[in-house]
Amino acid sequence: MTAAMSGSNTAPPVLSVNGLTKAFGSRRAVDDVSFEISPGETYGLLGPNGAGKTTTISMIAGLLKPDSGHIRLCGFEDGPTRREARAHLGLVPQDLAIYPDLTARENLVLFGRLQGIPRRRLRERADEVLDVIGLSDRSGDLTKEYSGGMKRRLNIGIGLLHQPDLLILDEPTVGVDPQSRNAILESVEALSREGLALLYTTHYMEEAERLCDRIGIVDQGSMVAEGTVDELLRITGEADAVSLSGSGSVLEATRALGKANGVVAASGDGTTISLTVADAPTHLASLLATAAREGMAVTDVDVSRPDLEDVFLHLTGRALRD
Amino acid sequence: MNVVAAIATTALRRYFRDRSNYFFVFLFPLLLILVLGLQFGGIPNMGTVGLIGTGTGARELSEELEQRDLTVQHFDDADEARDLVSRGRIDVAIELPSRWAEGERDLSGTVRITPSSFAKGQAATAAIRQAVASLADRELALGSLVSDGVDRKTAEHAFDRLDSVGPRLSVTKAGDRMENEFQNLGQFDLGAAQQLALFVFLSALTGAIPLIQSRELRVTQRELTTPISTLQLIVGEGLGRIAIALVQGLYIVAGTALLFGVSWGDPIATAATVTMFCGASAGAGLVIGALMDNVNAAAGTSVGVGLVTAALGGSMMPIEFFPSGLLVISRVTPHHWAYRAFATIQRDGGGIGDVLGPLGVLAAMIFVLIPLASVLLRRAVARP
Ligand SMILES: Nc1ncnc2c1ncn2[C@@H]1O[C@H](COP(=O)(O)OP(=O)(O)O)[C@@H](O)[C@H]1O
Ligand SMILES: [Mg+2]
Repeated sequence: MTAAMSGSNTAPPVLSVNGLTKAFGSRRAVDDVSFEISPGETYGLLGPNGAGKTTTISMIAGLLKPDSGHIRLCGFEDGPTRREARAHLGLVPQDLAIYPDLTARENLVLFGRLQGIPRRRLRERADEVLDVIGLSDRSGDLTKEYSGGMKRRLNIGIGLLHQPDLLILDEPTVGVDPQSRNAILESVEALSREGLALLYTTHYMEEAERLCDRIGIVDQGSMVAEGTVDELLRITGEADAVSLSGSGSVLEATRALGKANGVVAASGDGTTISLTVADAPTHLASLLATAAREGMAVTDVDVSRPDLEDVFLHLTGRALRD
Repeated sequence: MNVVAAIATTALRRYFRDRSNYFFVFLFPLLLILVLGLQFGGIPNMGTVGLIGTGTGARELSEELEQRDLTVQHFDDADEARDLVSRGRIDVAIELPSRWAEGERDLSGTVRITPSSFAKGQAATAAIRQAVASLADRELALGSLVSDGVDRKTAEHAFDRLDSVGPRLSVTKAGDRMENEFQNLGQFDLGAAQQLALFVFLSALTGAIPLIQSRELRVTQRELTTPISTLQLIVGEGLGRIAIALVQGLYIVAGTALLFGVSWGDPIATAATVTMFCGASAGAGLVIGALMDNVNAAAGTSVGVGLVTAALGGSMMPIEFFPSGLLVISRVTPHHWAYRAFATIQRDGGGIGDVLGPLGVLAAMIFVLIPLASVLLRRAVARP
């Protein structure tokens, strides 16, 4: 590997995308997109349908040639145009990409051979992957007989087969039932725990929030914001709404909480206190302690935070899901 | 190489997993052979000639024709005979100048030959010309003997004895290549080679369909994100298709040889020709498969292209009968070169060394079509 060290003390990113642009005719499907993914990191691309997520991924995987921009993949400067670079990449495409008239094992073996895995090793590795995706007992059945969830799992398994350094998952939960969806999310979490770097695209903000260390929000080809969930939530400038209900010295507690750390505004009637808090998760414990000290017995706490949906609305003036 | 093999074996595995394809590989060629057998009959038959007139001259020609393995039917009405030709019931109609037909020793006038547009009609025409020329030669010779004062009866007798004394000197006129062309060929031999090219090419063109389907299934796109090149993918898919075409082609060769005694000639030269032709055919199929995105459109195109190229390439009418302009166009088809190679092997007893020219052209076609398909496939995967 010709790993190019960028920083001196940090590990080089597994993927670094710079100024990526791709137009179809006059339409810019991807417009000057830049981001980096560190080893072990789960990076999310969150955006509505047509935002340019799949086009971005197709360029990273070498399927589409960018009009301009630069992709450094696992240390390879010229990105996916180098075959060796693609060996470090696992792709789980948005559409199922499996042969329906082959068995799960045959599909795995085909892609394993394309990845250059030696025959003997491939047999073991196929078993391992079948185990991970829970298809061991159905591995000899043609995949056209599989349920949608099973096909999705195989689709993911093929991407994992050659133990890539970066796994790209393009909307892996679209069109699956809630149960399979949860199974998929759990296996993605497991992969992340094992230290695999992930690029995860979705238009479901709950998935991005749940899975991703950092998220890039994309809309109409452009990246409109990027950061951790907390960083993104701060963009709106909207604080969290916390309401405390209970009995005892509610009015005293209201007064004390109004002066507490992180509280922007406080108001209360006899039984409920409504607070506007800059960062509720950080301050919630001390707020509850303050209320107790003032003699209020809190029976109910409700925190409502602005979510990525609000962030997207704030940034684009449109809803994430149409 | 492992990569190419993986793709090729997957193509084959998927092909044979569809049971209906067994029909196309094993049964259909056999049916084709049977149809060919019925068409030409088990006995060698150059074709059926409708001869107008029943006089002495007509009878003499009739004998000449039968010696050349043609079947002769006699007609009184020229229109009736020509009608049967146009309906494909007989292969050629011959109308002699009326005085000749009646047996007068007068060769002036025109022999009207109306062949069917099928290969057999064309081939029979060559034999008829030979027969007519042979009769005319005899008549000229007799005429000159008679004018030298020899009694006609004596002269004819001398000629007939000449025949039975044998060995007979066969005179073929230089310049009329056609007469020689089909001489060493059972008619069934020509038809089998033509049908092989037509069928194998048509079948290989439909190889476009699985290529399109793999793209629709998004498997092709995914394969291209692995560390393989587009060329490797195309060569792998191509080898799978060539293997299928080869089985069909060699099956037709073996079947026609065993069942109908077709003499294909040198086995190595024949196998090499079939192989190169399969390669070029599979290449053409890959180009269509990379160019088109719709399976139905590709199927229609394959059949259309398959039939037109077969016609242009001599699979329907021997290229020897082509006007020169058409012959030039014919050269773009792989059929043309396979036809020429088979002609050399079957008619002239040629070996591999004698067909290197046509095989080289077929190889060149492969080397153009495969990279072309590769470039087109790259474009195809960039389409939405
Ligand atoms: N191959 C293509 N040719 C033309 N337009 C395309 C192609 N691929 C995508 N597009 C267009 O580019 C835009 C971005 O598409 P895509 O990347 O698929 O978005 P997403 O994956 O975020 O839903 C869309 O408007 C889509 O119609
Ligand atoms: Mg998409």
